[in-house]
Amino acid sequence: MLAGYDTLITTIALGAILAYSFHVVLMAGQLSLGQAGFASLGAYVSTLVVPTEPIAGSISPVIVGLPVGAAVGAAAAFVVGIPVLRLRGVFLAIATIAFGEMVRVVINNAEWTNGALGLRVEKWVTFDFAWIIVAVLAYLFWRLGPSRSGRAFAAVREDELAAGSMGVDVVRTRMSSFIASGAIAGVYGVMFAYFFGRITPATFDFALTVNGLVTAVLGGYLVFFGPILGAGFLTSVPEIQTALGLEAGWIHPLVTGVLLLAVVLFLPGGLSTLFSRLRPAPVRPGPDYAPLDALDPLPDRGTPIAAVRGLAKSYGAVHAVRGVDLEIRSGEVLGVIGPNGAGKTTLVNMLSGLEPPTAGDGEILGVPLGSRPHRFAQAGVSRTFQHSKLFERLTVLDNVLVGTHVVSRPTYLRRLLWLPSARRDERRALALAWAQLERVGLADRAGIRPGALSYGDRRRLEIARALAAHPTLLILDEPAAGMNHVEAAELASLIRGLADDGVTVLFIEHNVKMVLEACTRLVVLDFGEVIAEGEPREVAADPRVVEAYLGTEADEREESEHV
Amino acid sequence: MLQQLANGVFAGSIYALFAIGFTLVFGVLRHLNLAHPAVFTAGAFIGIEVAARTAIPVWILFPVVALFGAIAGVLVERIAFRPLRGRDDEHFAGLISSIALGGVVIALLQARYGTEPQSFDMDYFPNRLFEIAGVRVTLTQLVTLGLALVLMLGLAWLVSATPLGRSMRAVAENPTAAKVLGVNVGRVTAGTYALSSALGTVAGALLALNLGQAGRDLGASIELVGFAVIILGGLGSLWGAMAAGVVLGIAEALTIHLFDSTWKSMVAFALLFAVLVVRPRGLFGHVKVREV
Amino acid sequence: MRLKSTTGAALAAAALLATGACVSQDADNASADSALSGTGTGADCTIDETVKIGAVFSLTEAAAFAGLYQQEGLELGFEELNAAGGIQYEVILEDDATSVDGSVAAFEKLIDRDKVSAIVGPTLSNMAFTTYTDAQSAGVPALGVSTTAEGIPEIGDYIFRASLPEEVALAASIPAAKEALNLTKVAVLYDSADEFTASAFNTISDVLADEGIEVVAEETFETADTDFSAQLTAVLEAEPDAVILSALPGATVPLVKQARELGIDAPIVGGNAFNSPVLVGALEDAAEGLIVGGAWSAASETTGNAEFIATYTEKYGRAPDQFAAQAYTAAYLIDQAIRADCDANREAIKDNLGQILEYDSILGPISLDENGEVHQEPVVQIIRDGAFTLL
Repeated sequence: MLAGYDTLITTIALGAILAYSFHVVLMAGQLSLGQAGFASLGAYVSTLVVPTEPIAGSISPVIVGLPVGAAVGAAAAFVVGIPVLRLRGVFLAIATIAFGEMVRVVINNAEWTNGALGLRVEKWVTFDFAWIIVAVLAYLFWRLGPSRSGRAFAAVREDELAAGSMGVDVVRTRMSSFIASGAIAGVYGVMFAYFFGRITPATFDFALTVNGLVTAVLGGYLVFFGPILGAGFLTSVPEIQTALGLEAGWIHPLVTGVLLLAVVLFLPGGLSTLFSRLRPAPVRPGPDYAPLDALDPLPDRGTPIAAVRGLAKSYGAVHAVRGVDLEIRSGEVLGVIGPNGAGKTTLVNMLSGLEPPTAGDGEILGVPLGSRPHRFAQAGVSRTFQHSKLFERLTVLDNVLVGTHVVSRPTYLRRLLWLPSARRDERRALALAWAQLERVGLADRAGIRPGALSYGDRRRLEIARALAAHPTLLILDEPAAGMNHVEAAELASLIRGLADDGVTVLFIEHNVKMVLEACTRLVVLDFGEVIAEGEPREVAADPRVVEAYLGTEADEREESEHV
Repeated sequence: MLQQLANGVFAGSIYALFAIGFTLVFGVLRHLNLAHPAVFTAGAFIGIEVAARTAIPVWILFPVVALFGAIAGVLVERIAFRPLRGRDDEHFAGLISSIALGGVVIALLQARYGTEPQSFDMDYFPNRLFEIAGVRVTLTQLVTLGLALVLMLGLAWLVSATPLGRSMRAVAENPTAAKVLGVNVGRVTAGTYALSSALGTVAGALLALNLGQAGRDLGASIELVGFAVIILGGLGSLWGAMAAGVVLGIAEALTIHLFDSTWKSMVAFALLFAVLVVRPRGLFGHVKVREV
Repeated sequence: MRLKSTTGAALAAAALLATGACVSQDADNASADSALSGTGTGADCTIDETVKIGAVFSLTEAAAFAGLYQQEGLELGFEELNAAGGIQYEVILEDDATSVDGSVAAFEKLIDRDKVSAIVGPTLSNMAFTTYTDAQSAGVPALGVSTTAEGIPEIGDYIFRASLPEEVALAASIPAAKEALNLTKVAVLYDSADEFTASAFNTISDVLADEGIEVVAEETFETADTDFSAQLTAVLEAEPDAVILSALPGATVPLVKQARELGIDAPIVGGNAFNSPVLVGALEDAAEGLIVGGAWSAASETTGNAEFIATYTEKYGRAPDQFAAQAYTAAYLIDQAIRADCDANREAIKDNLGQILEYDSILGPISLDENGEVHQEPVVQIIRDGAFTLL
């Protein structure tokens, strides 16, 4: 079309496709670098099935190769993913690099691939064809961003523990991103083969992986069109240098390197940072979406919702929790207190699936102990953390929207088709999230990132996120830590209000005044064991409790009471 | 067979030398410095040029190269890592900025030395062949192994017995706590990079001496095996990297001896893959991954 | 509003899909430009318009070791031709950065934007396999100067090469070595990850079988390897009369050095990639006794060779290698083809390149047949006293 620039323009498209295969794993926070292997497998296998003649006279035969390449890449990613997805960070990166190299060696040594001599095929890919694929990918990622699945990806990227506690199936989300990456890399392999008409095992080497990663990060993985920006930048820089009359040789790589460095250092989030201000500020949804409609009713007051017996956790010789029996009934506000190191956090971690118990059995809302966190969350357990675990690169509103994960339906596929029901579901989730922000008094800060919030506001945001899941059992781990007494008093009244609405609350707190005000029942832990249990004022007067507290933690109690 | 074991040990000591610099930075600072291969290559070129210009003996050449390396290391940290500290995407951005800086280093090498590989004068370090218990070894192989051991022991001493080493261990354990305890984290970071890059440049010069020449892809050619070594050894473990380098060298030599050399490059990655899946801490990373 | 715009986008996408998914027909060949045909024939030919010749070489990255010599050789050739008068040439040089996409983009630029009459290059066969199909469908004659892999001229009638195929070089050097050294058993070492060397290995196996030479060890390595002691130990134990090596220059130096250090004294025989003065410079004494088959030798007393070496060395400050010599020859071959009909149009060059017979070049008498294949006598050299000597 643009005579003489076809290759350049197509190269941008191919670079963008490759970068999308990195984009999708980076979105979910996975540093997976096996794309060269997936692309190689996709490309080689597709040469076995792509016809040598145009289909029906004029349709590019690559149409056949693309699904095959995608399927091969996805299948390979699945098979590789089963063992390697246990790994994180650099370990995952290096394991997947190893996979890519293994593929290269195998293909180099295989007969059907013609070894190092490579294969020649017809050039069936034209530049408009390549850009259609890019457009399709961009569309898929555009629709993914603000969907329930897109938020799950982002939540897993920012904090896996918090994501799991909000009901996101972390393992599945990571695997989905990994498989999608494999499929896109497979498509890239096919496109590469049929654009250049030739592949050798060395085509899909480590340098290709580095290129894709650089393109994806350079463009930015926080917006859907990042890979296109990255590919455009990297392809055009040498061209612009040539146009400016700069000699090739060492100057080209030098300038490219310096520019790349400058972008990474000065534009966190890559080139897409330049466009991120285009995002509209969140607005309150209209009144026509009543947030609580269609949510399941909470269990009747007094119904047992959790019962555990003989619960214990030990780390080697250290017994963090031992022999704890606990029953929780709907509608109560159960306080758990105890000196530092008494095992409070370990206890609630076991109740919410973050840590498996070493002994004991029981169920929480029908979910057996030792299940993974998202199972508990789906059953209606929602929690906050002692050290707040917010999704730092999402806005305040998006943080809370992740909380709605367990009470909303998947919208991605329906969003792709623009079904009105998807829009309705998204609006409902938005209304639910907005209501929680208003409940904790953060509605005016919906559009900013959590990093800009005060400490107390961060804790409130975490509570709003937990509430957005419409929990039956809300677990709060030291929610008032760092709050002044005005804020703590507000929090206490919020908790009482929740109890009035029928939410069961279990909370760990050092602020005894607040515990006494808010709780209907109190459990005291010391050295991992329950030393007292019952009506708050009675328990607080129990001599063993006084000893446990005053003997070891008198100073701290003073502090927390009077801060 | 014995000969092949010896070959493996010598090849492995080069892998190990490359890898310890890599793993040191990761162990202390959790940075994967992808500019390391470029610094390694620069070490080879600088070594060749210094040798050609000054004709100083080998045992002075390496300290000189190490000095260049130390300066390069400080610069790498300043340029590619320090500006990113505390950013949300520090982890990914560090990978990319170090890749970019590596590219800049290679471009500068090309500006100075052109595209042709540079070579040591053959008379600079005349090689000799020894036969020990029926095993043929060359002088450069012995020097490589010896230097690797000396550097390892020196590094181990430095980490365990000097104030810098203690600070490094403190930072590795917990940077925030180290800072509270009065450790100058900025200086330790710079020191770690200086040390790592000094090791990298010496390894590069040594490999160039072994090969007789150095091209701009010298570092890239050993980078992937370097990854395998640091993982097999347990990321961050110095002794692990040393041992894993040798194990990998021997595994490759035995593959050639017992099977077929076409599968040689499979060994490193298959071993790596298997270890990561079965024992992510690496073969030798027993207790803590961050043991220095 | 929002829905509307997306519907529009979807329609546009559908329209694109309809066109993009179709296989486009080859572009029509550029019609002849009368300004590019001149008067007179042969040496008297005069063309008014400057003739544009494209060149695609790997001037950066991995294959720059070859590309820079090619650039210099080609430029020297055309400078001499311009000085001779009658036809003025303009060389438009493109760097493919040793990458397939760079090479394809460079060809496209030269064909569509610069509208050159012919293209010399690219440096590597790997890229030629994909770029030559473009040159073929655009109807632009392309002349390879280092594309030695099997199957290159078969791409089409616009594709030529003035680069001795590896199989011919090896087919000459192995029998010559056999005769000179009385070989009965050899070891073969080759780079299995590179297509050039892997292709050469196939040729080596065939030639060895034809010559009745036994292969006692066969070892491989990969392009980026740095330590070859394990393979060399296996070679040493097999006690071959000679080692046949198929490696790129980057691996050749360390490999030969390590082989000599480990005590392999057997002669080492190689193909085109060995034919470089850099090799001798880097290996010094270790290069002694290497046997090299190739297209050109500094020691050959072919027409103009001594002058070429002298001029080149003076101009560029280093001695030429085979890459430079072949690129230099390519300039003269294209000039021959244009002068045949005094026509620098693409069709005329294509028609006449395939009819060059016994042209007396610095490579010796050279012919291009209508299939595009080169025919010349390979030279076999041995390195003695630090210099290439004809065997």
